[in-house]
Amino acid sequence: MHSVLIVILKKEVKEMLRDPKILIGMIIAPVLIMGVMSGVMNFVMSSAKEAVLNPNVIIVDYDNSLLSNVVTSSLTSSSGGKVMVIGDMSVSKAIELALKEDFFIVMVIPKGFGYNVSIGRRAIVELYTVMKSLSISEGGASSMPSSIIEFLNSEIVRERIREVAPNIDPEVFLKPISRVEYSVVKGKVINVPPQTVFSVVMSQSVFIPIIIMIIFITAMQFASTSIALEKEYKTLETLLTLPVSRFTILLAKLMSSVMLAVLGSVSFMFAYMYYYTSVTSFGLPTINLSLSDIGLTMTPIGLLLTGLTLFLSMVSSLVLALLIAVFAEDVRSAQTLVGYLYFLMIIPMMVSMFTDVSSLPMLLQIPLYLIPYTYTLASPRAALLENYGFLVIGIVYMVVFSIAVLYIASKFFKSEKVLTAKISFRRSRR
Amino acid sequence: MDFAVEVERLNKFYGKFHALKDVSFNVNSGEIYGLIGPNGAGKTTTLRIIATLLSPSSGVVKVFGMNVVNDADKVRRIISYLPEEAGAYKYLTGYEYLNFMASLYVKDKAEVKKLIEEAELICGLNGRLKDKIGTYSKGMLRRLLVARSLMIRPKLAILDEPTAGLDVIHSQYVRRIIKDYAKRNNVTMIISSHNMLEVEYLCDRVALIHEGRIILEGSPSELKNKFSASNLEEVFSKVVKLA
Repeated sequence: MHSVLIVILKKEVKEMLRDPKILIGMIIAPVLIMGVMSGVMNFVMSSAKEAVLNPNVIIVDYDNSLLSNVVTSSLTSSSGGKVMVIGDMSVSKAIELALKEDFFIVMVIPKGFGYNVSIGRRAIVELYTVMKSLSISEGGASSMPSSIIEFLNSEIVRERIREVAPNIDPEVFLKPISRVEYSVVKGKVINVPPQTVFSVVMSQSVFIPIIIMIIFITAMQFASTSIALEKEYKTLETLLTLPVSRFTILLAKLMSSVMLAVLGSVSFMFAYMYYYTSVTSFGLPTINLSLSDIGLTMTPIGLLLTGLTLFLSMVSSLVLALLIAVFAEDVRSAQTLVGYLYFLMIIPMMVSMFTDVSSLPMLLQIPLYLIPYTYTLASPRAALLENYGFLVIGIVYMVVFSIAVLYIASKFFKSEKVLTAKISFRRSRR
Repeated sequence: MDFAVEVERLNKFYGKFHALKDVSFNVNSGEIYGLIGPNGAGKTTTLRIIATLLSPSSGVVKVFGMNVVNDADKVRRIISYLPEEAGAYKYLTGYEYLNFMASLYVKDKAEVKKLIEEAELICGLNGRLKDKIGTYSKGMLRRLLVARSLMIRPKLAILDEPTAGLDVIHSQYVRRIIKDYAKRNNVTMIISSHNMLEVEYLCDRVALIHEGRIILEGSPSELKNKFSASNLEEVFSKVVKLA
């Protein structure tokens, strides 16, 4: 039996690797798509970064006072973009110029600006942001002049405080209370604000379910296709009269699907990692931390249990896909039928992205815990928090689930239903 | 006398449809036995039951004394089934396909090689065996599949419409290799066909099957004499009219 299994497995792998649909659709395309996506995102992000850091500004300075000169010179020196200072131009003309010459901001310093500040009155600066594309980069760039004004505001206040109370640090008046934040994770105090911890965990708990889902869908499609193709190519009947147990055939199909899933996962993981790092290197500069930096590391036991959970849920979903494909008449019908299984994944995925299943009412928890993917998706977080009890329960459940499905699938394989059960989504034919 | 195949009061229902009605016949060892009849008569269902693919609703089917339901695994070791319109794995080469099939029957590499050599002789595809099956014509594919089913030297070969859909040249080739092989190796064969001339050429005895019932059985010459017909086609049309 052992050598026969290898013979069939070899055949399955050969077919799989030579089928351009599988090779392109499941291994090459995801990598290419991710590569192109990361390339495009990188380009977009870097040009957005350029626009945020270097907005082109027209300053219309009607005041021409000492203070207005400080404003214009500090803006000129801090901005990497073009800064044009004009003394005698109407606002509407300046806006026209900005539209024509790719200026992003028109800053108007009205007459009396310096004087008002000097006598303790509130001064005004007008900012006109030219929205040409309504894009994110425009939004980002618009914060540039206002941050300079913030800076000027605090500088003027500091100066005033120094005049009134020369012996006291102005910061005491500006920020009488300052905060030092810590987070307590797994009972340990770490020197990181909770928002950062949350952001890191969130980014991981979004990343992991998406990867899991895509890999599972890919592998399930392959598993169901491998059975449906035997029907479509009319090779199943021959296969079933060979001196090979039906269970061995099923096992070989399952094993080749698992191998493809692993192959697909590896290529996809690399592509996604590349995409993820290239996008986040700009997008989330403040969360440039890994889980281990904030004290959230998986112990070897946690890693093992998570791996086992992933493996078992993959096996159970592939067996489920094989079982479903038995009923389909052709590849298209098999893929449509397997498509219905995705709901079983999407529901726990949505839930695990936004909340913790255990925080839901019991009536919702029960059906969710009956879906194996709930454990799959919750396992990384449970492993990080060393909630091993949950992981073990999940593993036990999935072993029971997989064996049950495997049993049902092999029963169907042994009966004549393999040949007679037919669900077709094409128009019926005789 | 022990029969190669014994079919006794075989019935098969697909839901409410009664596909086989008390079908009984025996096939002698070394004999080529033909099941003839129009499409939908029950030929394929009978063959599928003998090949362990379907289970009988009632009745007994034995292959060399082994029950096709209870001893299905043992039966599969000694039979070879060629389904009608069978396909092969199009991404494998002809040679790889034969190698895959042979490896399921014998473990020793030298034995596998021998079987493949036998298949090469039967199919006569020569150099084309190195090409992927996806590139084969229908006739070439059928020759490969016939070779696959005969190379393992089965005690019983079950061939369902072995020449259906083939052109004259390929049909003749396939018929010839089946007849030569059976003579050379004394293999028992059950062949179904709706081509009466083919059956007349190949078979020692035939059974006429019509609407799930065997309505006539005998050697082609016996049947022709009995109905004073020049060929089996005439016999069949006369019998069907009588029935």
